[in-house]
Amino acid sequence: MSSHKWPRTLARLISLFGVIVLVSLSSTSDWFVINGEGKYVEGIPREPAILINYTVNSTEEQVDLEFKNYTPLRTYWRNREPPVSQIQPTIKEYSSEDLENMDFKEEEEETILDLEMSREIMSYLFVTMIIIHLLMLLAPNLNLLIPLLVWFLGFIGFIIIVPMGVLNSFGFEGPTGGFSDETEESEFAHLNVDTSFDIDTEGIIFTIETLGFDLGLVPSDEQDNVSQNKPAEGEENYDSLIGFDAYLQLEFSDALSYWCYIPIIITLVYFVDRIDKKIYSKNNEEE
Amino acid sequence: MNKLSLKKSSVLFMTLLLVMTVFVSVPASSETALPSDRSWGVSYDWSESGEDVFTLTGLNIDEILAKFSEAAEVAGFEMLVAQVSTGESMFFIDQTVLADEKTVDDLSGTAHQVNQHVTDLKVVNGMLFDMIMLMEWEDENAGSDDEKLTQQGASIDFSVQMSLDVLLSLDSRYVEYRTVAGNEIVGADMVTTMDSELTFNMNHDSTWMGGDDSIDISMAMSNSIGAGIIDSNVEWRLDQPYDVHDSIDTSVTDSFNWICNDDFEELKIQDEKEQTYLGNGEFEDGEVFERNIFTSCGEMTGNYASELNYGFSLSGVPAELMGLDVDTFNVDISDQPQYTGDFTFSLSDLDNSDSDDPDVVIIDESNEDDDQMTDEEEYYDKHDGTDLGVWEFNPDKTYNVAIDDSGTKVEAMSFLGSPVPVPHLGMNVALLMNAFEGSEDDPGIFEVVGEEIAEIMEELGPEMVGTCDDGYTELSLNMYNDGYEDCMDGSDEVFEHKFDCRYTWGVSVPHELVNDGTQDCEYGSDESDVFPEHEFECDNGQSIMLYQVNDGITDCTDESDEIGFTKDNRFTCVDMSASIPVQYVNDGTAQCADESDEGEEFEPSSELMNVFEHIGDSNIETTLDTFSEDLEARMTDGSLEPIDFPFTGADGDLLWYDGAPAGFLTFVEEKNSDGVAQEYVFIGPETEGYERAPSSLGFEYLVGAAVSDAIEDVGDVDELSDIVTDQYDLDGDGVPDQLEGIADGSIDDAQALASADSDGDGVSDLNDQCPTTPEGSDVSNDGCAVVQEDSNADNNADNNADNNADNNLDGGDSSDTTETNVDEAASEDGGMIPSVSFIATICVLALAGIISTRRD
Repeated sequence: MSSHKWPRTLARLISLFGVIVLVSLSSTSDWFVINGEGKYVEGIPREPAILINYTVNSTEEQVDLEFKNYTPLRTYWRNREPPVSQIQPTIKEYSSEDLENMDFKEEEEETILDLEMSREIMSYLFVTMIIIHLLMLLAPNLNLLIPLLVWFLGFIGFIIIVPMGVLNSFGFEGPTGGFSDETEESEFAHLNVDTSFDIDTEGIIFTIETLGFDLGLVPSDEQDNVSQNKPAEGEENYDSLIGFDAYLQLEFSDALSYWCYIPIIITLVYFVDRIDKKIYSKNNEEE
Repeated sequence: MNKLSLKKSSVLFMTLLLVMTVFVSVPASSETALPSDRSWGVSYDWSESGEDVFTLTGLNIDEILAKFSEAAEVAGFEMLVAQVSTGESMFFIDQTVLADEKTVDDLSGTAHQVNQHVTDLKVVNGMLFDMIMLMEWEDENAGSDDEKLTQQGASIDFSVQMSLDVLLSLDSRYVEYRTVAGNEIVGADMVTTMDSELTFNMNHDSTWMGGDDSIDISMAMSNSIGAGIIDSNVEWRLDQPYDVHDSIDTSVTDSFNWICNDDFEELKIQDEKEQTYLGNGEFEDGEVFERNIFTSCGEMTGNYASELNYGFSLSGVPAELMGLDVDTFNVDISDQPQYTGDFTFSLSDLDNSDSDDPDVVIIDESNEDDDQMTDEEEYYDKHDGTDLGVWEFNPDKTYNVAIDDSGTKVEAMSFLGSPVPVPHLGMNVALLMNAFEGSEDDPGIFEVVGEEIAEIMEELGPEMVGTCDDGYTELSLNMYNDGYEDCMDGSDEVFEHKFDCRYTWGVSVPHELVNDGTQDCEYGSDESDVFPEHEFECDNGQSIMLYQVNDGITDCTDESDEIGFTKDNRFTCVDMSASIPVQYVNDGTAQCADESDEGEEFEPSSELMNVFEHIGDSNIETTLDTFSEDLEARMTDGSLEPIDFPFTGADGDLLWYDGAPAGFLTFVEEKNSDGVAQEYVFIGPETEGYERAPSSLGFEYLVGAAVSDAIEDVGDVDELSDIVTDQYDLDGDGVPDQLEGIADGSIDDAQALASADSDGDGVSDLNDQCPTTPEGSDVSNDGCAVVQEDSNADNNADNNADNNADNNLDGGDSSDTTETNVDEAASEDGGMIPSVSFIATICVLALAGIISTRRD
């Protein structure tokens, strides 16, 4: 090793150590803390609420569920009868021969960005970041934009890929935005769903407001009528109108903070390189 | 007649349980106003429960639990159970007649000048039970016998803390209005407040190790349910004054019934007389044996502010270990609805008699001698009514008792009835029925709890997804192809066509072996060559000859006589999209689109499997066997010889004096030192001719000013801390001071702490309610010095020799006891286990059950 290279090597060694520490901290810290509250604002007495606290890191998920004013909510769930299609289903009879000739291999699942996939992507990025810093040690002339690019991908991963994975896993849909699986969207008539999201320094806030007539609360022989004609206030079956407001706040957590220290290390390496280069040039000029 | 709904019935039942004691109802007054104030009641100190269990059963559960620890040590593991309990229960009645008269309107609007007869009822029940159980087990060689297991060793470190808190506080003031002129009932007003709370908490921490895997579980569960009446006012008015009290005349008979029905417009009295048959269809009236008093029920109106609350929380559920996606799952469910409202109620709503079978027959005595009416079978008016009360006097059973502060003894009569006025109970029932009823969309707690229990019971059973071929016997998914025929026709199992051999009942062979030239059935009944005359029954019931089976020609119309026949039992997918042969159910591949033909399999984590494989390949089975054998030996080695049960009999009476209830008296029969059975007053006032029972429990009977003082001391009870001494849990961390530190350290530290005995009296500090007993004192089971016999049996407890026991849980002397029997056993106290509670009893039974199961 020539004498002028040792500061750069030392910087890269320190950088590698720092990145390993920061990547480890990022991967083991909570990636996201999600707080949410959904409240029945129409149709159920005393506005029962469902509160969710969802903590995610690289390996674990913890779910805290809280039901407030549970009695009327339980009564609502008990009182509703999921609407049954009026069309008699046709039962297809399969013989053994039919079944033997049928292919029951599991269907290829639709590739969606769920939490598992986002975890996988992030783990690749973590490993890549460490490998690149190892390469930087072995090949000091490696362009520093490469680790910066990997960092940027990780950053995108933390603020977009993981939240999307979480949301897809959570299932932010249906008449309760995923807060409850007791009801399905198809069981509601005249369902209005308003969703929005906002992003700020604290994190990402998703909101959903739904309002519709729960056919599960309507007598089966009147469900078609309610589906076609929206009951007005005071009319029969108007009391099947159910409104639900909810928000989900995805808070950026320590993992992202640790990840954001990595560019500083890369920048330090860059400045060490610059200084070393200047000193080397100066020495050359003097010689 | 309004029929009570199920909901109301359940509320009524719970209300009655809440309010009533064991007595039946009776009006509480007489032909004259109360001669004087009277107060009486009883309290029970739950910190004495350990002593009382010993007194009643003669068994020292402390010692039994200590033997569990000793047996565990011999078996190679460590176990410690420690517990404490405290609390107090009270039931006080305070009755008086106010000096001020008042004007009250009846239902018809007529004003009456009345006296105010006041009954104050105070019921308080507060109990705390806490228990800790620790266990440590380790086997370093676990897994050495299983080649698959590369790492050795397994251990279990287990601790559980449980607590049960119970609170009921009821304050109810009932003011009955009776006319000044005639002592007739016009109505009553009532104000009741109530708080009730039941809380059960459990914390569990354990570490399960097996090989190189370790599982830490830290779970907590909390359940609570409560109901309270914040404020209430209930008014009861009759349509006119009724002279009920004057009708209770013990010179006429000893048995009275008060029945109300809104059809009655005036007081009616029916005296049932004994009759002697004279012959020729004639009877002669004898003495009256029962008097029925009929009035209208009147109307109650009231208002209330009430609240309910319940909560359930579960945290630390190791969901991942059970194959779920989420690693840890916590859930918290709660509600605290508040209600305010008005109600109108009639006591006739409580009538639950069968209208087709009237239990009351009224004879209009004014027409008794009227020939015309007699010819018309007299005049019978049949009514159902609400039984407001029955009471039976026993003039032959009287006691000279002190019922007030003066100590002067009066002659009180035994009676069976209610200690408080019946309308007082009825008004509380009406209040509670309405205050917690809720609405259709937001039902009350009792209905919710009832529905939840019903649903849980339903969900405990498997979900039915199909039926047998008979069309009605339901099947769960796991009943299909499980090797057992759950259907009578076997249609839940893969159909295997078989031939039933003759002469050997229950033996069959595969169908293809019939007529194959080899005798596969005993006696060769499967071969037509051997039995050419035999017939074969097709699956559809048709008969053919045996030789026609497997001859290549289908003779049965369902083709079941030939090889290759398969019966097509079918399963219909839950989404009704398809029907498949039953052999494809639970075959590992989902043929139904909704996958309803395949059961979900529990997939525990690899860590869990590894740990349990190591534990399974450990000495835990032999350890438990040794434990149970040693425990059995210890239990039968004679050291737990139960003392003689102290009581050979028991009896009790409510006391009636001067037209009103005046207290109660219970007796026990014990054998004295000469072996002669003697009856003692167990709980009750001073009674002439009776001594106090030597083996009394933690009860205290109070009369007169002592009741007022006790009520004042207790004050308003809104939470348990109002009646339970703070010394139970000074730092308020939820762990009783006596158990503090036991759950935190190692089991050795805990045992050292549990067995510490600072005053050297042989009773551990945990169990010692008098931890500073002077050296050499003769102590009882609770570590307090034995009190010498109270020679004058005056119901005043002697001073406890241990005057330094300021930190007693019982808050002072509460009973007058010699504790002679207790004393004998107390010296045997192992000293490690704190006081006994019902939790201990349950645990002992549970452990005994486990052990017996293991032994089986």
